[in-house]
Amino acid sequence: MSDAAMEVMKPEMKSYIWLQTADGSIQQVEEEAAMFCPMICQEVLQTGMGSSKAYAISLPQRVNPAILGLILDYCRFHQVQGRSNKERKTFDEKFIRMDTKKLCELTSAADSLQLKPLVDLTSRALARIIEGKTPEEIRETFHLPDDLTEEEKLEPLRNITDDPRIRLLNRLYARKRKELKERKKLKDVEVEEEPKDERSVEDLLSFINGADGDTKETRANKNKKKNRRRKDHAKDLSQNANENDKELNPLTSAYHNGNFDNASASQHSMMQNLPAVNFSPKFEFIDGDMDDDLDPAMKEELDREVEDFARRLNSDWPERMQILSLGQDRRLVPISMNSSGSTHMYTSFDQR
Amino acid sequence: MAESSEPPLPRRRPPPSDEDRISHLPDVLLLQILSLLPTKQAVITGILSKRWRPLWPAVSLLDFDDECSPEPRHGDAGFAEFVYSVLLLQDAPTIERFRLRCRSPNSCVGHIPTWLCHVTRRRVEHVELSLSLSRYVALPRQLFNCDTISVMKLNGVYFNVLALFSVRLPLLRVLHVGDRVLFGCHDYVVKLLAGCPMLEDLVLESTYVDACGTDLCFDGNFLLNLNHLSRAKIGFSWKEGCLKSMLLVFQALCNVRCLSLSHNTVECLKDTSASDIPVFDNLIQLEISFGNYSWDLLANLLQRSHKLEVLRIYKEPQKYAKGQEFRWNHPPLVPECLLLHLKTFCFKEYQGMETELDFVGYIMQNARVLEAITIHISISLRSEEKLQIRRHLSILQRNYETCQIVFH
Repeated sequence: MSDAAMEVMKPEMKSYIWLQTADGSIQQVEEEAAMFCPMICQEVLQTGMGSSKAYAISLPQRVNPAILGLILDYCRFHQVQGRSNKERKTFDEKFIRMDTKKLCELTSAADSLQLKPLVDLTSRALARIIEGKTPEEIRETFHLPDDLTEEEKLEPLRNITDDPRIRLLNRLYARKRKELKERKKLKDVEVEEEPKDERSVEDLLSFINGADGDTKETRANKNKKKNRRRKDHAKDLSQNANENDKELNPLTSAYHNGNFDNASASQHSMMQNLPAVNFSPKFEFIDGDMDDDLDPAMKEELDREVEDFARRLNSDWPERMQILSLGQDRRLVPISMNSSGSTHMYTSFDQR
Repeated sequence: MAESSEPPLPRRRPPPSDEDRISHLPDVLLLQILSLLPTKQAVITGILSKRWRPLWPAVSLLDFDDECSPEPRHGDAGFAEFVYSVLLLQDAPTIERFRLRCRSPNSCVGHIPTWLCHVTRRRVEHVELSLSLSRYVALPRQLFNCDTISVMKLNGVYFNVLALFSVRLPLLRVLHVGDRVLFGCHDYVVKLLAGCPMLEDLVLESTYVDACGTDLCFDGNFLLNLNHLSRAKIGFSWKEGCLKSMLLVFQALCNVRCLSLSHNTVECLKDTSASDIPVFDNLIQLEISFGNYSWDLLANLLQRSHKLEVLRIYKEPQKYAKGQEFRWNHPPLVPECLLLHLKTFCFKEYQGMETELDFVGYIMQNARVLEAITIHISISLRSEEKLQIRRHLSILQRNYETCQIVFH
């Protein structure tokens, strides 16, 4: 039939391609729209399928009828030649507005049909969704399983968006609670345990009680005793941490160790070397919020700031708790009871 | 707040994998998504789940920005460590893109050259640097002698290192030199361009006029053959002593299809004699920005751009406001492009000067195939003046029977 004759008889005549989705349902689709998908185009040209219901092209499993509808909407719009870039962009922006689940399905389906422009569009949309979110938020948005162990999560480079102030407060609260709990526990234990107890709280109070007199030795002793006690309810991490006593830059230590499970070790070692720091970093690993993997420098500073608090507040714990909960100015220069120690810390830090 | 010392348990364990659609995507797609994220965010995905953990090191497009640095207070130290860590852990076959934006490069100053050397060795193809002139960063020789770089965009850098070595960038197709770049001497532009024979897209925006002593200038003979150059946007300002290099560069632009000249460059070029202006065989689109009108230059350009189809003129408002404005003189021969090719004419910041009216009239009279005229009248004019302008132009339009003028 000549083109002209066809036009006279059926001005609306289009040719259709038959497609079959994985669930068995078959539908016919306008040829121009369907041929916009490279995979379908290839099937038609190479195997001649799709011309009738019996010979419908089987689409990949990832394409269900609903998603196919969306894809065809996309194809129908974009296969028209005369559209301006602006028009296409506007269409894309409206098209891409859907929930994340459907977006993922669409990406998957477009990929199986080799429809690259749509894959690019959906990838960009998914990237926009991920951007700026914390790991918890991303997991929630996409329903990701939280299947990494806390150890695995402590790998470096990851936790770089948390607000340190919140973490600091959380840590302080957790620490105080622990202290109070232990104080209570140990009060019931035999008297000879007492000196140890005092020291644990005293660690926190040391600066206030005029720890100028404290020698580094005593402090080291305290640390050792703390370490010993920690081992009682410490995890494997603590074991690792104890082994590595050299002062290593976390970067080089990681490099030497080849893997980053020892990042915790290097953080610990850095702590040990700073005389004014009394808190065993292992303490942190037992802390409530295990997602607490700050880089070593930040951990150090946070610990320093906790000391600042302790140092500055010459009062009992309940009162101190109250003051802490008001969330104060941590930026004040600390009264250096242990001037050499603290300045040493500051300078060493600043030189990084 | 954390209640106990155990790791927090998830409240409800989600049904395994049914809800998690995104992890079902093949690795290739997930990597594509990750490469659209800033590197910091990509690294964060490493702790989402087992599926995501090994993905980010395979991303070959790196994007570092110190404003989104891990810990702004610890600032630069943390940022430098972060970059080092990523570079060490990244294990894609090559690093395809290295993009670094460092607004306060205080402690990164010594590291940036190291990073650049490293990525050139990892066969980087696309390098983007946005630094700050507040700190001197010595760009390494390897950055300018690299076989794999095809796109280079630099801003906030010092180019005086170009005195020390030659430039060899055989694959460079796109070169953007931003508006905050200090060349030690303008001749270094020539040196730079001489090393990029395959250049297709050039943007030279730096307007800083260095105090370069003329004895630094032109100690070498350079031939500039930019045969593949197709787009050029030049905002450069040459000094008196560097006119030779200026002409070299200008003449090397003769093959472009699209050319954009800023008012600084036009100011330097305005006294160029007609014989020094090359013939633009392929020029289809010309954008030219004036401080004071340099009508002679424009006339010469029109004469030498036989195939010009789009002409856009911008008058920079408030630049050289009280300078002497020259008159538009009708050239002896009507430029060929007007008779045969010019389809689009756009005039921005039209101020109603007589010389402007003359020019617009000339175009309307001679452009035989003109399809669109757009005039943006300066917004600083009073409404009566604007009305006056419209009236004048409408008269012209009727006289010459040209297409409709669109006013903005």
